[in-house]
Amino acid sequence: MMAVLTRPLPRPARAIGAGLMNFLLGAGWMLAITWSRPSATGAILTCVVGVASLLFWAFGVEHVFARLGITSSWRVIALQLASCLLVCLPVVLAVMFRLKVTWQHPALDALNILFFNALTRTAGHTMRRERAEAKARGPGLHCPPGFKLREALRFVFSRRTMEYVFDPALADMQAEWVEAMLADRPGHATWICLRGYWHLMKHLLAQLPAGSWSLTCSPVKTHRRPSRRNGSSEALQAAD
Amino acid sequence: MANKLIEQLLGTGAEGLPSLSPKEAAILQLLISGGEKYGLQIVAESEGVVGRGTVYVTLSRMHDKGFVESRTEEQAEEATGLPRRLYKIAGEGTRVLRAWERAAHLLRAKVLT
Repeated sequence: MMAVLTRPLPRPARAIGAGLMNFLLGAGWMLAITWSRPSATGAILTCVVGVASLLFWAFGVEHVFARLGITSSWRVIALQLASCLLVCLPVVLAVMFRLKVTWQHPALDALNILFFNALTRTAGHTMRRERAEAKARGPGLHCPPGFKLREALRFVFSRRTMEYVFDPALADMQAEWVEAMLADRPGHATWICLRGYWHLMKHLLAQLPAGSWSLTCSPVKTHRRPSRRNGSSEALQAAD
Repeated sequence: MANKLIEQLLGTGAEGLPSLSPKEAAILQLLISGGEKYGLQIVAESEGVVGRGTVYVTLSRMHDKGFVESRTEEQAEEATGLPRRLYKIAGEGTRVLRAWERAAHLLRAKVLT
């Protein structure tokens, strides 16, 4: 086992490993900057991630690279420089997101679409706010089920799908749950929850192809042609 | 086959008659008779025609077609959870339902004679 762990990795795996480390570091920064708000928690989170990454680059990186079988210093430096963009790109994107800046060049539209759509839907902001609002309303039934799931769904599906498919389903489930809890029937409330999640799963499967498209491309304005299935008002008048 | 027969019965211009699935027809009939309803109310009153797993997708599609209108419920201050969505039939939905009912009536008459 030890022999397997200490054996130097093949060359492509070393490069991939080094690149992956840098990307994860950048992704950590991206999440920290995106989630941080003008609050003490956000500032502390950003500082912790920053200090951790600095410590990693100062002391830990050579050990990790040595473990990967990359020992000579020039190779380490070369790999760091080569994969530097992987750290910088998410950080730059996150800072731009926070400053509400977007690239105006048409050639870079794809990046705007890909990253900003994901960043604007990053789970956390809305969920925290909604839960805080619900908690502020008073004790008892302050947190019906489904808020976390809703945030996860918001990350994947378009606003329209959320508004017309998932939000009504969750709202009805929450209303039923609250009724059951007010009637002091926690067992029935749990059953409502399980049944609601099961039916949401069905909606999810039905909407998944559209969701995977909207995750990357929903900021692009599409002009839908009127569907042939919708028919025409002339046809209706003729039918009347 | 049935569509072609209906088109023949309704005459010229009926080729573009909007499609209406049995579920959509059931929902429209419920909404036309009962006013505004929640998704779960529709499920409960449809007596098994519309299921919990499909009602919101169907309503969303009907909204796209212009058959139904919807609004979110106004919540009280102390209410918890998301506001529920209320659905009511739109003018287009009424016209489509009437057109299909008439088509079905004509078809039935034609078959019986």
